[in-house]
Amino acid sequence: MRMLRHFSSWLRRSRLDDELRDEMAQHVEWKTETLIAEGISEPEARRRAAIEMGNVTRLREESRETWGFPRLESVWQDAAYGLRQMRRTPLFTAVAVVSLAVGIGASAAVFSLADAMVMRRLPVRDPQQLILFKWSSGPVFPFSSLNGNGQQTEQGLSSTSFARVALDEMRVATSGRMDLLGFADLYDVNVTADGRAEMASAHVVSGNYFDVLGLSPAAGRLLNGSDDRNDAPPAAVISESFWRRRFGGAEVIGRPLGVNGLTFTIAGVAPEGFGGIGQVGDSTDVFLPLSARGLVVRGEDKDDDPTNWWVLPVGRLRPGVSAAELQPTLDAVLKRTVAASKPALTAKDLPAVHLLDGSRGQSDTRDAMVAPLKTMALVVGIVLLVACANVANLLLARAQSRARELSVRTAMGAGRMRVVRQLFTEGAVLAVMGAALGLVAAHWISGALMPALTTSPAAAVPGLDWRLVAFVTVLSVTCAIGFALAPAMRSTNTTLAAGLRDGSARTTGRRGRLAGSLVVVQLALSMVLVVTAALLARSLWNLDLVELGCEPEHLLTFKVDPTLNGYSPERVRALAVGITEGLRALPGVTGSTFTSHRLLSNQSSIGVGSIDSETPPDVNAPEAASFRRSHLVWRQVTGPDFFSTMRIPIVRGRALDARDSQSSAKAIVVNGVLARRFFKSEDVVGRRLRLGMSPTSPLYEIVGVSGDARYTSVRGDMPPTAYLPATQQPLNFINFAMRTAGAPESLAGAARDVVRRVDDQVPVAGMRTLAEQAAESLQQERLFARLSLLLGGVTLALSAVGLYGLLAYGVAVRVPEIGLRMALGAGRRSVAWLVLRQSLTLAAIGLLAGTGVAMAATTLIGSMLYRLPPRDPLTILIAALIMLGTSALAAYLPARRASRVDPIVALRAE
Amino acid sequence: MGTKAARQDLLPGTLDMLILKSLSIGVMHGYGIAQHIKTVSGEVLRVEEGSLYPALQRLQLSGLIESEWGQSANNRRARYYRLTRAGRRALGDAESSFDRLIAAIGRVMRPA
Repeated sequence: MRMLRHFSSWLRRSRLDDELRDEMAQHVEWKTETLIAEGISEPEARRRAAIEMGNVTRLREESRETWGFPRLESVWQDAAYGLRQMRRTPLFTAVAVVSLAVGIGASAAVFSLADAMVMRRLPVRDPQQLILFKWSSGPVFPFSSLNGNGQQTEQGLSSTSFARVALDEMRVATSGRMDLLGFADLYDVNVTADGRAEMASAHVVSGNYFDVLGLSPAAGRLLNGSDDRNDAPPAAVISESFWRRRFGGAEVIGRPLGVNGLTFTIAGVAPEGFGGIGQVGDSTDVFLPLSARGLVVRGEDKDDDPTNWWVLPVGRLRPGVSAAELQPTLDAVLKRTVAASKPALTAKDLPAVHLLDGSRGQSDTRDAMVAPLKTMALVVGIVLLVACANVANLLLARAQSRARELSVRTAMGAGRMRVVRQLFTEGAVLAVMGAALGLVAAHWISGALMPALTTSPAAAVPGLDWRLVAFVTVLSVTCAIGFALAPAMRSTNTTLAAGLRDGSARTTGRRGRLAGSLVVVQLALSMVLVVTAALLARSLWNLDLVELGCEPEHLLTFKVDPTLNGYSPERVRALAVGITEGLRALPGVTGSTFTSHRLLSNQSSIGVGSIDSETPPDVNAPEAASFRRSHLVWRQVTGPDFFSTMRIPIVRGRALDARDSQSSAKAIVVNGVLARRFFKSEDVVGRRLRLGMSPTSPLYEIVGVSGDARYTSVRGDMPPTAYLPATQQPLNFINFAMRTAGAPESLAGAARDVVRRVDDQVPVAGMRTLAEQAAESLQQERLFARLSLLLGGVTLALSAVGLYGLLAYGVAVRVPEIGLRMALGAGRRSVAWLVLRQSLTLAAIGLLAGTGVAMAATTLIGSMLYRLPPRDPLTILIAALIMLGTSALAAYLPARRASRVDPIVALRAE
Repeated sequence: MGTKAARQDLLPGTLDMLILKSLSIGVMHGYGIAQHIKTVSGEVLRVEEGSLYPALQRLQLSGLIESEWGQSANNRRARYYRLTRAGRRALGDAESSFDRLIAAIGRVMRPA
C-alpha cells in the first residue's frame, strides 16, 4: 500500500512539486500579512516571513526525496550532470564517444561474425545431441575417391565422408543407442521449373534425415524412409528460402522439378532457416533422397562401391549414451568394412574413427575461419584498448582541470565515494553513448567484413540479437570500469588543500606518469597496427602491379555446365560452338570464345608434361614424385579465337585455329614460361610435348608460343601453361568469354537469350567481366588491407589525440617555468624543442615497444602477404616514419603555444 | 543530501506528533498548523515553519494524514490536511509513549 502510494506520487512528482511551491508561497503570504497587521513595515515583514520559512529550495528538495527513489534519482542526476558537462565540452565528448564507438563497434562486429560463423548451432531439435564422424588414415589411402572435406595431415588424410557400406554397418552396430543419418553434397545442380533453368545447390539425404533432425515441414511433407528406395517415385524437398526466391512462396506441392534433366515431384518445403547440415553458411536449395544420387550425378563411381567414400554420416545419441562408449564399436566397424574391400591393407594402415561434436555442422569452413577471425579479434582488441586508453586520458585530464571543483565538493561534505561515483557515472554515460553508436557501426562493419570470411552469397549479415546486445553491454561496462574508475580514484586521491591551492602543479607528477604510460602504450599498439596496415597495403600494391597478360576490360564471361544434364561429349561440344557463334553474331561483340576452366578463379587442370627427348620415369619408381613436381603443366582447353578474344599475344608460330580439327595431328600452344622451363628456349615451334606420366602418353605438336598470361589466380608464379584446342579434347564445363566494343554489362541479357535459344535446359551462371573476376579474386586481400588501413589510421589518430592532450596539458602547467626560462634568456626555438623532445621521447619508447610486438604479431598475417616478408625492414621503417611524423604533428600546437609564452605575463601570474 | 532540518528547537521526532495533535482538533492548512503550535505552546516552541512541509509530505505518504485543496476563509486557494483513521491511531500511540517518556524524565529530574 505504502509502496503503491510511493510509486504513484513518484509518477505525479512534478505536479506535487508545483502544488508544494504554491502552498509554501501562500504560507509566506499569510505570514507577511499577519506581520504587517502587527505594525511592521511591508519590506521588513516580507524579510522576516522568508526567514521564518527557511530555505525553500532545500525544503522542496527534501520533499521531493520523500516522493521519489533518491538513490536511483541521484544516479540519474549524475548522468544528467555528466550530459550537461559534455554539452559544455562538445569536442571532448565527440572524441571520446567516437573513439569508443569505433572500438566497441569493431569488437561487436567481429563478435557477431564469430557468433554467426563459428559458435551458432544448427537450427534443429536438440543440436547438442548430434555427433560427427571423422576418420584419419596413414599414408596408404583406403579409398579410390572422396566426396567429403578431405584434409591433408602430417601422417595422411582425414575426412568426414564414408563408403555407403560403412554407413549401413555403423547404423546396425549402434542400433538402439544412436540414430544415424547420412547425407552428401551434390554441389551445383541444374534445376528446371516452369521452363526456366538455373543452378542451385543440392544435398541427397537418407530417409531418416528429417526425422532424426526433428524438423517439421513449412508446407507439404518432408522426405522419409519410403522415398529413399530405388523403386520409390522421385520426390524432392526444397528449402524455404528457395521456395520464396524461386516460386515466390506459391503453391508448389506436387509440381515437377527438373534436377540435372531428371524429373522429381516437390513433396514439401523444409522449415524456415534450415539450409542443411553441411558447412557453416551453406544454404542448400534442394534435398533429394540418398538413393537418387546415382541417377543425378553421372560419375563413373558407383554409390555402392566400398572404395567410393561419398556419404557423410551424422548421429543423434539416445539419452544416456555417450560418444566415447560408441567410439570402439564404430572404429571396429570401419576397420572391418575397409579390410573387406582392401584386403592388402595392414592393420596399421586401417583408418581410425573419431567422434566429434556435431551441433554446429561440418567443421572445415569453420576451422578455416578461426584464423582470420582470431586476427580480426586481435586487431579490434587493440583498437578498443587504444580507444579506452584515450578516453581514460581525456577523463584524467579533465578530472585534473576539475580538481578544484572536486575539492570544493569534498569540502562541502560529499563523500569520496560519492564523487567517485559521479565521475564513474559520467564515464558510464560516455560508454553508453559509445556503445549505442558502436552497435550501429557494428552492423555496417560486419557487413564489410563478411566477404573476407566467406564467398557464399547465402551467408547473411548477422542482425541485432540479444547475444550481441549482451556482449556489447558487458564490453561497455568493462570499458567504463577500465577507463573511468581508475582516473576517478586517482584524481580524488589528492588532498583537499592541494586541490584548493591555486595551481595544481603539485599533483601533476603522478598524473603525468600515469598519462605518460597510457600514451606510450597507445603509441606502441598503434605501431603494431600501422606496421600491419603498411604490410597489407604494400602486398596489395604488389598484387595490383601484377601483369595479367591479357586485357580483362570489355570481356564478359559466364559459365554453363551441360554435363550435369548427362549430355554426351558431342552434344556438349556442339552446344559450346553454337553458343560461341551466337555470341559473335550479337551487335557490339567483336570476338567470342570459350575455355574449359574459368580464368582467375582458382580452377585449373594440372598434369605432368615432358619434352619429346626425355622419358618420364615409371609411375611407381622412387623418383616419380619429384619428377611429377618439377614437370607440372597447367592445361587449358580453348575454343576458337581464344588468343585474339583474350588479347594474349602470339610471339612465335600461330594461334590454334580451324586447321586443328578432330582428324589432324594433336596441336598445342604453350606459353613462354613453359617453353623456357621445359625447352630452355622460346624457339620451340615444331617441337613436341608429352602430356601424361606414361611413356605412351600422347605427344602434342607445338604450333605456337603465346605471351605469359595469368591462369588460376593473380597470386603466385606464372604457371607453365599449355593451350589445347577444344576440337581435339573432351569438354566438361564451358566458360564463355566475349569481347565487347561498349560496356560489357549491357550485353548480359542478350548473352542469356543466346544460350536459351540454343538450349533452354542449360542454366547460365557467374555472369561477370574478367576485370570483376580479377578484382573478386583479390577481394579478401583488398578488404583486409582496407580494413587495417582504416583501423590503423583510426588508432593512430586516437593516439595522436592522446599525445596532443598530454603535451598541451604539460605546457599549460609549465607556463610559469617556461616564462622563467625565457626571462633567463632561453629562445623560442629551444622552448619549442622542449615540447617536441618530450613528444619524440614518448614516441620513441612506444615505437621500440611496438616494433617488438609487431615483429611477433605480423607472422600471423605472413601467409596473406604477396612477395613481402612479414618483417620487411622497409615497411617497418615506413611505419616508424609515419609514427614519428604523427608525434611531431601532435607536438606542433603545444610547441607553438609554449614558444609564444610571454615571460612577463607568465611571471606576473605567478 | 539527506540532511535533516537543522536548527530545530524540538526534540527529534516530536514535530510529526505535534502536527498530528494539531490536526486532531480539525481540518487545517499548513499555515494554520504553524500558528496553532506557536499559540498553544505560548510561543515557546519555535518551529522553522518551512520544515512543516516536508513533514506533511512524509505523513501523507505514510497514510497518517490526507489533504485536499479548498478555499480559505479569506477566499484563497489552500491545501487542507486532515487525520486519517491510521493517523488517529498513530497519535494515540505517540501520546501514550510521550506520556511515559515525560513521566520517566520527570522522575529523573525531580526524584521524590
